[in-house]
Amino acid sequence: MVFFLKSALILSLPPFVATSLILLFALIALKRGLLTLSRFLTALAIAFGYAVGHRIATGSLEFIPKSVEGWLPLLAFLASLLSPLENLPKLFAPFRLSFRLAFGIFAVTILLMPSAVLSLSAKITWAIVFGLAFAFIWTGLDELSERQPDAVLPFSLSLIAALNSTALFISHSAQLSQLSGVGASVAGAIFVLCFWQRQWSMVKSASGVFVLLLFGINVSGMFYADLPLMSAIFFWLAPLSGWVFILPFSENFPFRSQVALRVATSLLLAFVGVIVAILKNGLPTSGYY
Amino acid sequence: MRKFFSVTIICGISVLTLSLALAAETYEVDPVHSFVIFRCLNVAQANSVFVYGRFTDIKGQIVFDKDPAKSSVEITINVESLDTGVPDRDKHLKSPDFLNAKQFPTITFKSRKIEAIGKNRFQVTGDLTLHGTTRPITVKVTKVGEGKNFKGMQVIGFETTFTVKRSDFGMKGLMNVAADEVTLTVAIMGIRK
Repeated sequence: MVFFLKSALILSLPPFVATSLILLFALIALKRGLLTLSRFLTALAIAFGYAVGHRIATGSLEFIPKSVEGWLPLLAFLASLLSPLENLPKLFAPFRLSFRLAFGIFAVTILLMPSAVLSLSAKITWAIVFGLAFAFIWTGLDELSERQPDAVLPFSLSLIAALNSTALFISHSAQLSQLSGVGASVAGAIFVLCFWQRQWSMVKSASGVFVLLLFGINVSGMFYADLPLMSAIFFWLAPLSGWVFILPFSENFPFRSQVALRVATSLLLAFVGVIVAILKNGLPTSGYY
Repeated sequence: MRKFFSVTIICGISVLTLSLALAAETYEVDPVHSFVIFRCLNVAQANSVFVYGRFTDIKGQIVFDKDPAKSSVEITINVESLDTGVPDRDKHLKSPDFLNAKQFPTITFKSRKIEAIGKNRFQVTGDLTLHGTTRPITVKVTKVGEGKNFKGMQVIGFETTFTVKRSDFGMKGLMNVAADEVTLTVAIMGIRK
């Protein structure tokens, strides 16, 4: 137990601190009315915090990586560069959606190309399918964060990433599990800042980066480890569970009940993702390390 | 005149036979009688034990000449054939955490230079490709023996043990679980084609 706690601390504290530091700069930019800069810095905070954790977990941070999960820091950084697009007027919604779709297809292609077991046609098919899903999830999370500019959403995202980490560990990849844990840590940093600064929808600025990490880690888990597709789908849908608040019956609930409902729904979906991974792989044989 | 031609023909046949006998012989690696065994210190278990495993799918070719400079060896190992006796550990070792079998399905070794360093001892320099990274290594190889087996097939066997650092081949994660150094013992038998 001490071994795992020590590993968790070594892995989660540096990304949490790195993300928080850049988020403070984002907050300063916001206070000065520099909305575009604030959004970019928020997205960059997640990408940078993740890169710090990635370096600790894998021992490397290469510009042209050999191993597939090595592409995630660069893809996260590229996703952060797209955050200023969030400032485009609603008029440009189709353009924004096209960009998300193109980036999603690009990111999945980068992750699937190194596979030695998939045919080229399979890679292209999966890239298009997952690219569509990527754009859908990003748009859904972006819209949700605009409707729920509070700390509940990043709190849910952090829990989802933590449970995702469990599913990846069960799917025989401790490293991908650690990377998902890093994601939980950076989302946790956003939660703390959002809790401190009410009504700041940090997730809106960084939704693209977070979705990229969620997609990227799970695509790697599916095609290079043993994560089931259904498990990944539940983890991808879990962040959107906050849309449950638009259901008629939930509007009459007290605020605390609404919060509990939102968190419980996202946890439920994430738990199902874990259960699916257990059903496919079984629980790890004790002490095989 | 007839005697001259007879002597010439006999000499020619003798030279041909001798050159054939001295020519390099090509052997195909027999996976049934070849073994690639690895061991790595288990850091997660307080460095108290080594984890042992083997690869069961080995292919390759050995060209063996009396002149070692004309000899060569090429081995290909299927990473999916890894076996440590524990299925969960096998899956973990083949995952992106270590060998990443679905991205790098083979381990290969191709010799570039072979020189004799003693009776039945050779120094082999070649390129080892592991986890998508190619690095030159030099190993000392012992010829275990050669001859006709019980089926009448000409066979030859070699063995070597060497150590590599997995970090040199891009496997830098989970150093608190498995040590950096991995020792491999390669024992191969070739059957002459």
